[in-house]
Amino acid sequence: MKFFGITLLLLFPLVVISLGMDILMGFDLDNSIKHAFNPFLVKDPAELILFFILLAFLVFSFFYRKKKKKNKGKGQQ
Amino acid sequence: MEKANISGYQLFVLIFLFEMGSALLVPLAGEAKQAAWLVILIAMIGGFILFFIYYGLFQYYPDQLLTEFVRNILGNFLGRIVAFLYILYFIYLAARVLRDFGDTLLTFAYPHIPLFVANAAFILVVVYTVRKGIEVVTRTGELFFVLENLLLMTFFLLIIASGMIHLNNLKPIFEISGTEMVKMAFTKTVFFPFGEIIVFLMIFPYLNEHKRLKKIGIWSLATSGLFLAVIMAVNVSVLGVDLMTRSQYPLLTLIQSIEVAGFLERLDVYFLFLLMIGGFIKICVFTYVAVTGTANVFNVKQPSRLAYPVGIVILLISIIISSSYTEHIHEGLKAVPNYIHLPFQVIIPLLLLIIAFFKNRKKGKTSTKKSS
Repeated sequence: MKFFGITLLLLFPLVVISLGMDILMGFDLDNSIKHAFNPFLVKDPAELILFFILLAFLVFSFFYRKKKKKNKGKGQQ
Repeated sequence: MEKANISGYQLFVLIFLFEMGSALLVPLAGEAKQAAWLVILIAMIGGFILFFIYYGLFQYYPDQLLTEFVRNILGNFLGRIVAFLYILYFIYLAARVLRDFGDTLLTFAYPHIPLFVANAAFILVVVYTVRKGIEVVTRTGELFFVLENLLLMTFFLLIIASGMIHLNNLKPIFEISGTEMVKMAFTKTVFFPFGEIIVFLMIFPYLNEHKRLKKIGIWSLATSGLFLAVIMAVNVSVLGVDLMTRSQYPLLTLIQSIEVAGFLERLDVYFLFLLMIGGFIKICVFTYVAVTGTANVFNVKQPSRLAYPVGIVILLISIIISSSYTEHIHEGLKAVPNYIHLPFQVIIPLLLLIIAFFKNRKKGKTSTKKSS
């Protein structure tokens, strides 16, 4: 869960920074949010599949490690 | 901090390839027109000054990473915040470079591939390399250094052989005044690519010969600066100022125009190789530094486990960062130097150096009093 928290903690401020940069360039907040998230709304099927595979790997990696830890613990007992 | 050692030569190679990375891609100091190469050389001197600031910091804390000694200088709470901001800065820069290379690939080689797919393919290779540690990154750099130099040498030979260099295109050198050149160099070109050497504050502690660091840093900056200046001068002398400033990728335009003996032409693959080598090493260094820094700030025992999450964050940010390449470049030229590079490359390190100086002077005084 720590890794999940770190990932979010890194992602959110960076999204805010990139939105802030857009605002500095003269866009208003609505437009900069549209610009930022538009690429995720208009994905090709192949792009979308790859995106979900990568996300699934990320989520899976958190859980997989947790299970591994538990098994180790059981083995030691 | 992982247990690793890198030699002076490896550090030299890494800095050289890092500096050449995306600077080859864009018309560096293109606004200076015929004097672009001169502005790059002036900016290189600015780069030396910045390097001495970072070197001064490193000398106070030779065995600590940037994220560690910031906490020693500013205290645990404020230091942790500044260290976290630096991690964000490194990830943001990695995302910017990734976007640069992804967009370039799509523009000239793979127009039908979605940007996300190109960037994902690139970052997955980087994540794999970063997971293996800094020694693998530097050894990869060593291999690429030979290839990059061979490419550059043959590239120059071909340019000379094709007889396209017109030195008259470089005149008048002083169309813009000297003060304007200095202003341009110290407000833009010094931050990109020379000031980005600040990331190496996270790599210097791995160097096995600390005493040679000053020489290595200066030599690597000087070599990369000279190469960039020569390449820019060749760009201008072959393409002319007009075409060079209008071209999105001047080096690509230059390479495409090579024609030797009527059959050696369309050498785009040269550009592709140069692009991939520089970009790969640059993104690797940024990602590695971000991963080590994050592990250091959040007390993660196995930094390699963070490589994939950080890589995904870089990938997502590279897409979110801007809606088009034009906007991306415009943002990079207008907003990033003043609002992002300036504080992180100059203001914060300078403040840290001043505080470290007074802190260590106090320590030095108390230790001399005790000894007397």
